[in-house]
Amino acid sequence: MPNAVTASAIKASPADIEEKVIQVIADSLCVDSSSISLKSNLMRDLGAESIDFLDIMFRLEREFNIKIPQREIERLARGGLAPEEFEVNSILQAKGAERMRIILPELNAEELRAGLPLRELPSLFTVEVFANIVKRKVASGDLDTFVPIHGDAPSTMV
Amino acid sequence: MKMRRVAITGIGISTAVGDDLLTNISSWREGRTHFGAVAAASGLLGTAVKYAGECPEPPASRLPDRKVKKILTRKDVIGLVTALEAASDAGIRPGTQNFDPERFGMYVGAGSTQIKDLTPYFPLVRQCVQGGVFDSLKFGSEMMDLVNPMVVLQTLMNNTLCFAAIALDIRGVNSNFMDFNVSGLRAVGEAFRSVQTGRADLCLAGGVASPVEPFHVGTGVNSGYLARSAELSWSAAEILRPYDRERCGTVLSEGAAFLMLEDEGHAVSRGARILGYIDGYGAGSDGPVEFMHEESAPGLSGSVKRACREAGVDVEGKLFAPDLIIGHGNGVMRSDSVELNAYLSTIAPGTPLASIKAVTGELGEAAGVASCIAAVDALLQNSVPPTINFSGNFAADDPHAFSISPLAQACPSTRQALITQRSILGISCSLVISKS
Amino acid sequence: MRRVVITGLGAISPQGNDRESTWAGVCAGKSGAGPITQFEASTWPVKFACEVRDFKLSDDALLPQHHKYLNRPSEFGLAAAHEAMMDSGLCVKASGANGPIEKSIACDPELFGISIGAGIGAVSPKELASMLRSLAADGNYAELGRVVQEQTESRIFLRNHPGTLAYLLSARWNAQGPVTTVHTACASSGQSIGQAMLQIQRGEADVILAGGADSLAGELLLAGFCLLGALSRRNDDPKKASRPFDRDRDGFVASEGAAMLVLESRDRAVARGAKIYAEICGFGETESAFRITDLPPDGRGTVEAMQQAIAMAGLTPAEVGYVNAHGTSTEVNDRVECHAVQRVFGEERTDLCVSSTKSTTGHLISAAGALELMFCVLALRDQKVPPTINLENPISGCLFDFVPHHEKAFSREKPLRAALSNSIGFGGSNSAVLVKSHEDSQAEVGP
Repeated sequence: MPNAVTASAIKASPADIEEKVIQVIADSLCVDSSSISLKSNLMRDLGAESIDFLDIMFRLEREFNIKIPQREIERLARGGLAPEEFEVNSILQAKGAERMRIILPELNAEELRAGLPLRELPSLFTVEVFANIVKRKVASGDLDTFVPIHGDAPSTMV
Repeated sequence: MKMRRVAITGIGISTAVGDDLLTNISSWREGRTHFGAVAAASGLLGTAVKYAGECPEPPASRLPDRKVKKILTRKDVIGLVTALEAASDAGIRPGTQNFDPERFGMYVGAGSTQIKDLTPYFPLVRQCVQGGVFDSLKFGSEMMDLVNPMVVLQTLMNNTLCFAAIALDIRGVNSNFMDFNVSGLRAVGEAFRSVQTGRADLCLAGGVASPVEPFHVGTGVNSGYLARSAELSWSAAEILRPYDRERCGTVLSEGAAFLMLEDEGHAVSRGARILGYIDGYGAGSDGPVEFMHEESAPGLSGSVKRACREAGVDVEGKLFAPDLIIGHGNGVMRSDSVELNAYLSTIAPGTPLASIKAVTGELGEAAGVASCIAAVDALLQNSVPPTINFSGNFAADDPHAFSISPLAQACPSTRQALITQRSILGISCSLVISKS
Repeated sequence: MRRVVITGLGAISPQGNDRESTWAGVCAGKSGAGPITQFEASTWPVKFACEVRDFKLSDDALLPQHHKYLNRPSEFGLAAAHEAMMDSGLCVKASGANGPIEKSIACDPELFGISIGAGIGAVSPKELASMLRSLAADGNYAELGRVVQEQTESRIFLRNHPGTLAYLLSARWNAQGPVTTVHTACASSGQSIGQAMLQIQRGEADVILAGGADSLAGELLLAGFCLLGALSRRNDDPKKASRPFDRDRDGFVASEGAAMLVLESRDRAVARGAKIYAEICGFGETESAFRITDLPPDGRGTVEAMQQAIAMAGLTPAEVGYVNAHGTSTEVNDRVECHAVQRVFGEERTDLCVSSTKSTTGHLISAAGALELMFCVLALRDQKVPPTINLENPISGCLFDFVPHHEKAFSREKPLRAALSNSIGFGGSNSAVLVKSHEDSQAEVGP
């Protein structure tokens, strides 16, 4: 269990969080932090692959003493929707896209639309997505509480 | 099926004396032992083992992708870097090849994990095992938070194969063998078969081992396999004594060795340099023979016969007469005995026999491949490398038939070398390499 | 080039501890999944697996002095090998004082080999903890070797090494020919069997006992795959969790077991009047060389492996009636594999049966290729193919027959003549093995 550290003990400003998240991602992907900005796309700009998402999540959890359970984004995204409203044959539907935009507002709205194959979701992730996930988790106060707009990387493992 | 001639067109090796080929070769020619005192970081303080061969840290600049260091253990970094070196030596570089990647294969003999590779589990395992009882409930509830998810990927035992294939765009035949310390020579033999029978035009083949660590050494000492170098008066340069009456066990070394094997026509047409040819391969097992208590090595003699027969090695009476043997000779009492007896029934007396293990230590999955490299050099130099520490005295009942010397032996004409390696569980491979 | 046939089969699986009960269970669509029983798993993120039940290794399966080298997968491997060898008719019995005893194997030991796809073999948490316990609390690693040397049995090294099973088999059955251990994750036993076929074709052996054994049900390995997110989390309904090609699949189900096949030169088998299950005549072997865990979306590597196997067998894709898919029930594998099968067989092959027996057996990792090839062989024998269960909403756009829910029998007018088993390995190795009916078999083959 991560130690029960409250949000107030962290005292990290949004700018601090962003800087730390950039460093964690830099370490995980073995790239220079100076080459990373909030808008950097993990897969397209920084060469990440799906296994790197797992590693980044683990490191962020340790760095900030938060929990980002696997598959929570998916559970959140599908919650309350009939399966075929979210996706059909792994292609995102209109209601699913709408839901994803609420959960991850940092994602490019143009690309996050009906017709997007689900497996391509990770390719939309930018550093900003991770930074905002961390900010919200830290700000929620109770780190174990499941807060609807939080989530984690989709599972794409073989 | 048309059998094609298989050439050796590239070499890569990493050992305790580094990754420069000439440095390694001259250490064998001159009989300069690689191993010294074990590094403190290797976790062997207080064991019966004082000496081992450990590679210098592979430079990050040699890695194809910086991320690999995050995923690969030390063993696989060494393996990957050495495999890439062999490819580069053959003139094959990532992104520049103009042959069909499906005709490019790879075979690896892989050593097993170190205890250090399980470090991500350590803190939680220690918390969860109290009084010899494993608290799986506690483990289950905390593992997602405390154990790095990369641990399985890091400990995959085909990582060297996987990463080298990605770096070099190898899409053809492949395998990863784990038959202990014969695996690297087996990889070379199977690669030979694939190129010979047309399943591939090029094959990278070799082995990697990183056994200088608590689990391999701790268990190895208890079995009697390893020389108890911390308790004996021999120096590092004297302790490994292949075929000698005073032999007292082997010394584990870390390292990797890879060859590029290639269809001769393919090599000639791209102007590759040919270092030698593989002309015969045989594999065999001793069957029910027990580790450390063997009475004979029928698998070894069988593999020798098959390799020599295929290569058309000269015959004297019923015995084969290669120009030299780079043998297994690991300095373990029974192992060296059964090896010499296996040669007695298959090889002409007087044949020069050498073991480079006195210099390199037992390189495990890389051993047989290192011996192949020594054989290539021996053929080109007309000289058999010294078996240092051989005093001239044989153990009781060991045959005296072969010419073993602590000095280099000049060979008037060398044409074919026999290379052998026998695993701790009695599985043997033999290869015959012909001069280029 | 010599032809190679299969003359013996043995298996240990969650469906049953022998070949026929395994086959019957898989054909009946019985899932082997259930809550984990080998340790307390109620707090684990994944609480279920497919486990072998009520298994006891018979003393006949190994040499008496080798009990000390056993771990769970090697016990399964020895048992399956024993069944396969007894099945093959190679064991010559003589009359002993207390009934028939096995005398020898009707094969020159030097021409008898072993080829095994072996599992990772991790130390148990207790073994690991006992090695760690004497370390200072700060985990000072420097003296761990001393602790191991003083407190750990030397045989633990052999017990947990993938290469030990092949040795135990070579010792038990006196195999003095080529003895090989392959570990390429999920492709291990597909490769070990394919490579054995090539060895016999080339004359390096007359008989090879080939197959695989594995167990993911051990704590540290299972934990590792949980951490990767590769396992299904359907804890509330384990029997529905393995659902290859289904819309709601969410990962594979860990399993354990072994399968062993006796491969033999056809001429030899015919000459001794052996019962012949099938001919093994195609093997494709490729490397994906793409990414560490992600598969090439175009199915590259998998496509070529299947094409090579079919070509080597001298057949066309149209002549293959059944593909036993790798079909792990992960999002990526199943999607990519469907695409690959379509590329090889054509999109219009509505008559092509493609099922994944991982829906019932779970994923045996290093033993999967062997077990699934065995199912292909038995499919030829019995002229029926096992189902893909839990297929409620199949991946669309694939028109072949996934054999949903129930086994499917072939008719005499359109028999099953050739079947192919796919394995797509973690780490990039792919294998495809093809077996076909042996038309002129000498003896009747039956369950």
